[in-house]
Amino acid sequence: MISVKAPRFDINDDKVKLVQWLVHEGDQVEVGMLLCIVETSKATFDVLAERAGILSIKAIPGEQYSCDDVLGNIFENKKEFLAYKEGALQEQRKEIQGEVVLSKGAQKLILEKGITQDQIKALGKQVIREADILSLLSEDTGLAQGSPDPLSRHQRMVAQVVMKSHREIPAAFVALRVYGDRLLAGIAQMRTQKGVIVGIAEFLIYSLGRLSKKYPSFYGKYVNDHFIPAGEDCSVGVTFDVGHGLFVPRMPQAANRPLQEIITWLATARMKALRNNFKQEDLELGDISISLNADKDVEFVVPFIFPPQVCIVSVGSIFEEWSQTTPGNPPMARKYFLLGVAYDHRINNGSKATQFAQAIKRILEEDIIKEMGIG
Amino acid sequence: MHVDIEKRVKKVMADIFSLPVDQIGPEFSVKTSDLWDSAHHINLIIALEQEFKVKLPDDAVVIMFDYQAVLNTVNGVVSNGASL
Repeated sequence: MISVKAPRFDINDDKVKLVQWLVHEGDQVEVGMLLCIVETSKATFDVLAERAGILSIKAIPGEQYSCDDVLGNIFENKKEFLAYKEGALQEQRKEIQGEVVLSKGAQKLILEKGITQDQIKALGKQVIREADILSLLSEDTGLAQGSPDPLSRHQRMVAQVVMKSHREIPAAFVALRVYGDRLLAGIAQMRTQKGVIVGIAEFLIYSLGRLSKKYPSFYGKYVNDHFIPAGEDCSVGVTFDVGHGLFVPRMPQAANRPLQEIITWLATARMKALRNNFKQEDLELGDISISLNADKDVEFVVPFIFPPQVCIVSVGSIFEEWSQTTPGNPPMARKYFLLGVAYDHRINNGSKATQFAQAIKRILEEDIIKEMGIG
Repeated sequence: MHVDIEKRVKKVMADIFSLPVDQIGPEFSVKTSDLWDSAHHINLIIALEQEFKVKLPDDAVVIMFDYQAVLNTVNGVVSNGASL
């Protein structure tokens, strides 16, 4: 058996409050499984299982616990768990003997559900029946039957940011088509000649870095009814969702970065996202963000703007169309993707956002090919 | 080399790059496929780790740029029993 203890997250917080259990008494838990949520004076935290086994719950949601207090125990197997429960029930019987009488049904439920002595006493009855324990369980907000799946701490934080964005930012969106044949040919050239694998994302970061001085109203933060531009240099955040949450690491000093540095940074960021080992400084909010949506068949998404940023640029996956580019010539296959700009309408209007989007398109379709000597 | 591992690697790569399984083989690499970009590469790693329930070594995945390298990496990890 090992104990699940109230964790310490901060030297200033000696106590934590148990917010909610996310598993039930007697559940089989696995290593790393989210067991319960606790909160300190500053934030909420997940408590994870350190070993697999059968869980016995001791702590009560809503109560405060000192750091290292035992919140529950994890037993190696069901036999060990039941032996512990039977022993605990015997102890409870002794301690409350003379105070209350437990019916057989009540005893069974107490054993199964891990009802504590304090909870039994709190009922304030001398004779406790099965119905009393069922009533107690139905009041337990953290363990209600049929309650929806709990959200992880990370997803709750994402939810807060999304809600704040939708509540505070009057966002608008413009999308346009970027023809990527030459860019994709350049990407293929880099692959075949240099063995470097890149994608549109690296070139989009490059483009946004180059445009920060010409379109400063899309780079910065809106705070207390004032827009604070990014200044001389800018940082670009890139969204990653690789299965365990949304992360937006930022690339600092993006305005003048050579492409090779961007390639290296993005490869490192992707690995950090995959292994979930970003550092706090990686995740500080940038001056503008990019939403990457390269999954098959995704034309585009309308991303939310990360407050207090004022703009996010999105790209979808690559499609092919047949079109006649020159009158009289036969149609030819062209590859394209959709570029979207979601912008805070308090700072920018539609015409300016369209100009900004067209400037990004121009870099991706033409300028970058010349600058890099690719394609 | 276990035949089952080879089949499963081909299936994962075919899914990621939206190609028929018979187009995945020794010739398939970043140099021969337009589809193998940096975003698909990370998706490939995720899919392989999920399929085989393993963690691929970071130093291997950043140079795993052709079918044979992918297969060798997965086979090495699975054979060593290094599960997640």
